[in-house]
Amino acid sequence: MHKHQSMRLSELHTGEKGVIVKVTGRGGFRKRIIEMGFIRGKEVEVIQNAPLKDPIHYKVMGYDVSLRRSEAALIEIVSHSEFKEQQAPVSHGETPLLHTVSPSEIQSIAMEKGKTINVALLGNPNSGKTTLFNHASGAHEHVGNYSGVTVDAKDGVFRQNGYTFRIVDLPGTYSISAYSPEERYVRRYLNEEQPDVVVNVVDASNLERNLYLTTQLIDMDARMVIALNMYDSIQKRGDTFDHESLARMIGAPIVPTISKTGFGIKELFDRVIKVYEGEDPVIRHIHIHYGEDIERGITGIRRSLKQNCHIGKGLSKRYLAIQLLEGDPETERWIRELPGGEGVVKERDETVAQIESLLHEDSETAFTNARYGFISGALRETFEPGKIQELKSTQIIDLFVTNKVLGFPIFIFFMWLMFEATFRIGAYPMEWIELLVARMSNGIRLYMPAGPLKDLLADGIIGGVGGVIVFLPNILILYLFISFMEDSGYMARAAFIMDKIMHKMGLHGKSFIPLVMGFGCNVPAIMASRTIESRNSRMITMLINPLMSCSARLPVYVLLTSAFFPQKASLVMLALYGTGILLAVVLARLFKRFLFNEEDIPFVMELPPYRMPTTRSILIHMWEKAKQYLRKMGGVILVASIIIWFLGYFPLQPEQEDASVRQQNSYIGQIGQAIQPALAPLGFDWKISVSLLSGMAAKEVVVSTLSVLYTGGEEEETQALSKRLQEDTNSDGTVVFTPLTALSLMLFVLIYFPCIATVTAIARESNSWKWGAFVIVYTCLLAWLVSFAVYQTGSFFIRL
Amino acid sequence: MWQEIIVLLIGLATVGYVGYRLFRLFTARRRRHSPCEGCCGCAAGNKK
Repeated sequence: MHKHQSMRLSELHTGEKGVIVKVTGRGGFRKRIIEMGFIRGKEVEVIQNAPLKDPIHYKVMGYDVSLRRSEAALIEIVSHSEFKEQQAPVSHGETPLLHTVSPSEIQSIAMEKGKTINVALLGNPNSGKTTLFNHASGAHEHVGNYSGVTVDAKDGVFRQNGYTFRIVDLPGTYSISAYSPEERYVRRYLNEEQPDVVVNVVDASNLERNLYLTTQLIDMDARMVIALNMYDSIQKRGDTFDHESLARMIGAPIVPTISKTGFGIKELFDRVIKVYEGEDPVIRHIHIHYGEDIERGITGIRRSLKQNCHIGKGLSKRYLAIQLLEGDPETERWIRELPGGEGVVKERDETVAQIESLLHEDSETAFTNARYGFISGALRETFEPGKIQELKSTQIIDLFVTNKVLGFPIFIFFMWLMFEATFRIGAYPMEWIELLVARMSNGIRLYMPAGPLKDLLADGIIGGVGGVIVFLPNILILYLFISFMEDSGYMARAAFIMDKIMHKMGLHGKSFIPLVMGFGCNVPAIMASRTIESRNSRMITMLINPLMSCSARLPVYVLLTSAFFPQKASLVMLALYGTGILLAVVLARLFKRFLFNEEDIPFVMELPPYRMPTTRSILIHMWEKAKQYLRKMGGVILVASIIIWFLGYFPLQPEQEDASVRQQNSYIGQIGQAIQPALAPLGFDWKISVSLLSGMAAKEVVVSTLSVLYTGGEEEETQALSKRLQEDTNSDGTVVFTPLTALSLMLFVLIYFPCIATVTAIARESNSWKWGAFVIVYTCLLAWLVSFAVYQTGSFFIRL
Repeated sequence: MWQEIIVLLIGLATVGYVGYRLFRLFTARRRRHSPCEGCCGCAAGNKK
């Protein structure tokens, strides 16, 4: 998260002057301080600011004013010294120009700085925040039609109507209680960063649940604009919603938006400007009335907080009182640490007992009920459901895709279709790229004088990188399908139908989302497991995620299936993905049994309505993937290819030696032959063994290494890698690669050592390198066992 | 000869690059903002 640092009034020393940029903070304090003359562009002089002395004495608009240090810290300024720093020449050695700071210059900077609005985007998961963020900021962040896509804050900057917006897309949350990591994250962000305006994105198709978060923001006294997103769903259903009345009721402007098309987004940020400038006619702070008994409790705790604890003006005491009465553990811990906090907590305990005895329900439930009561009341006055309640298309589709009998076959059919398209359609552009790579290689062989650079370019760089780049179309097609399934909402259904299996694994259906994301790349998938509340489920999900076949493994599969299973390529690929899932199921069960055997917290899984994904969003996904793939080509794959070539070229040997003998005697040959005995029972020769070793950096490197090592004779060098693999022979004349060897290799690649980025992600997310090491050990052992079983059983049957 | 020199330079650059990446990997703990330490293998690398 990026915090934009700016100078605060409290940082000025005695005698220094500054010009006000903005007053942050909330509610009554902010209003009072503005009324006192602390407005943008006005000059303030420090009369006395002694260290450890409170309050500080200021002069503004000719009046002497005293402010507490904590209050002055909420006022953003531009100081004269800061202005001078900005004017200083950038390059060294230049003589600084003598320049007297004129008040008008500082004032104009303050006015300009004051036109920067920090906006936080907040809303329920899957309410369209990220799409709105992308539209507004022009970013290309990943979106998906299921909850938990945003797991970290992302920021963007854009300009509109002369204002600069620093916009932060926060993870989706249903509330800002401190239960899940993202709830804690969002709450901490709002309290610590204090954005100027919060844009609360509300899904118009599910108003009641979405407005729950809004009620908490009202309690928090956040300056808020509501984006009534997916507004078209209201129109489609024929509902009537008087959002302007609701806005007036809750004191926050509501702007209809459709983030998918960009409708209303400009108007939304126009309204943000109005709110920021204090010109919006609708904005006002309201109190949600929690009923007499609770309100009495809130007032008591609030008073106690004011009297006993020194809490900054940036936090609403009423909000803190509500949090304490709701039993929020984080707020309680914080209050306890303050002087006088223990007494407040004791009073809270007494008040809670009193409320519970009066209402016959626990305090937290009483607050939740009151909030839903508030929402229900507000909607009854402003919202009228459509008269014609026809069966929605979502329900019709769900009848089939989430059906107990049909759900699974449909899921398997979609997966098969995805692989078939990846393989068949991808074969055409793959051929074209192959041709291009061969031409480049031939050109170098023909026109360059003999020498090591020619060999490095033709065999090492073009051979290695070219061997992998040909799979770019296949990866893009795979991503096209994954993006379509994610954005349309089908992936959430897949999670739903997998729920039963997930339960058997000791996980919840929600864990399936990070697992499915793992088909694209394991690293963001592991990061997405943050959204799982229970640590047990989260850990298991992270540990089994490397078994999901990521797109980096696709080049290995496409290469070997096209060479050895051309007729049944899709089925073999489906079986490989299926094996990954099956192994994940078994291991999750084992991990649950032996490592994480505590009970999990139950929670509800939601099924978002189906949406037709936009071409733009799918193209963005594909483009991003293509960029990443090409960057990988120029990074890890290029470097690995060069290293493999060097190790295969040196030490230099007599020219008269046969190419294969030279390769065997090279450094790489020696390394390969050293590790080969461990992998020989799996059917691998030394070249495959080396490929697996180098593939630890990234799985595509397996292919680039094979491409560098399997150069064969002069004739074979221009052939496609698949052909070279088919024709390569051992010294005794037997072929190196049989379909069984290929299958054993694909299974090994599927299971063994996740790439370094994945291991690092697991270590980071689990806060321990122990789990990173554990994943390395278990995947390598498991890969060996599975490949051994397959190869030896297969060989046994072949011999019969 | 010129080919040998260029190959040597490429070799040195590669060793330097690998050393730098390994250094980045093992000093990663101090740079909390990057989840994957400059690995551009996936979309997570784009996150700030």
